[in-house]
Amino acid sequence: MPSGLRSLIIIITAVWAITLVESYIIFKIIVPLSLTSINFGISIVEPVVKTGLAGTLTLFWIYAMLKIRNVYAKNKIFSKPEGT
Amino acid sequence: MIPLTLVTLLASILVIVISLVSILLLTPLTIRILKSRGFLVQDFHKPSKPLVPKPGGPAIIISLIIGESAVYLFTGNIGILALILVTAISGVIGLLDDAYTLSGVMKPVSLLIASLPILLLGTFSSHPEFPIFGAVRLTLIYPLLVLIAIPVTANTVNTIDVLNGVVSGFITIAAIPIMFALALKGNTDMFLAALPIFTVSFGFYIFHKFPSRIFPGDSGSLSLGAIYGAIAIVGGVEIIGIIAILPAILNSFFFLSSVKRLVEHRKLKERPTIVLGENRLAASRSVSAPLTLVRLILADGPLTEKEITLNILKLTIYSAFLAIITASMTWLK
Repeated sequence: MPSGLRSLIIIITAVWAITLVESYIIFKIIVPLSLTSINFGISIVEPVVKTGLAGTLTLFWIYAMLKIRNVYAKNKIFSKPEGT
Repeated sequence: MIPLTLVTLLASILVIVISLVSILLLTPLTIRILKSRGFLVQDFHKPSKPLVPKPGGPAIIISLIIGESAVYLFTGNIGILALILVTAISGVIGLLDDAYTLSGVMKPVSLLIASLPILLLGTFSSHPEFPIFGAVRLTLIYPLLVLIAIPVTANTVNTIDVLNGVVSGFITIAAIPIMFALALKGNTDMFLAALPIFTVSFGFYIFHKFPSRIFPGDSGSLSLGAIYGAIAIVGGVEIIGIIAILPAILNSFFFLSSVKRLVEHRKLKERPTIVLGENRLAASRSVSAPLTLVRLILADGPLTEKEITLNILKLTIYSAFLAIITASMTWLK
């Protein structure tokens, strides 16, 4: 198997694994999290904090994808001469 | 698991036959009509740049509607009606795009209309099911996700329509885990509704594979992408649908993050690939050219168009395998 295809298979596997782990963290840890002790009696605090946490994780997902892409592009595309 | 009864088996065979006959009859007819009216475009990835009829979308759209109508007659399920409407609306938008080339922003915005049948007919459950931990409640946010899901899947599939046979082969493979998940879930109506997607894309692939005798155009790829997204939502197999099209999602994501705006691919200043002699393509080494899946596949060195298509389809088979594992983790008890 060409190494380019192998690398893309690794990328797809990483995306799959990160997506499943992140959805587990969001829906099974963040969403059921009880924040009553730190919400100062304001009902909006809890959903805002949870949305912020879930959003941060989603941003991490995007960052991870971009990082993988940049490393791949730098090592395999930009380092070679045109037409090769 | 869906009950394997004689009725289900006969209905499945009938839906496959109706859809397959439709696409196998309508595609050559569309080729003849397009040729006689001069609707031909150059195949830029070949050195001789042959003229190929485009768009084959009408054959795909009509065949999908015929197949889904047959399923609707069998089942009377309102969800199938939503699929028919999504296909028709996205098909019309695709035909407008083929005729007038909608802008990179106008295309996804207009495709929001294609999501409306699912929302207005209420054919979705706001409890998507995940592997390991099961269903989650997304009562408020889910309708919003449905609204953007059809433009996203339609455009994602549209962006993978890059070489001979890719988009039709891609949807043929990606439909398999959807059918598998719906069968595991025991949703007979939606399993039947997924059959025309598989059959029509496979039938079209016969004419679209290297060297293409017809191109699907935006009407073909957008309608295939829209109905794919719609069945994932209406059938409640959203996560499986997402995983099965991961190569196309990565392609879209990498493309958008490198050009940093919604842009129609025909208006790009720099191409991600360059055409060499002997039917071979190489990755552009320019830092400012968009990063696409094809460019990443070509990173190791030049390949023929047929080899690149084969590599994309291999990646799709791998994603379909991951989607099947995910479906088994979700519904196999």
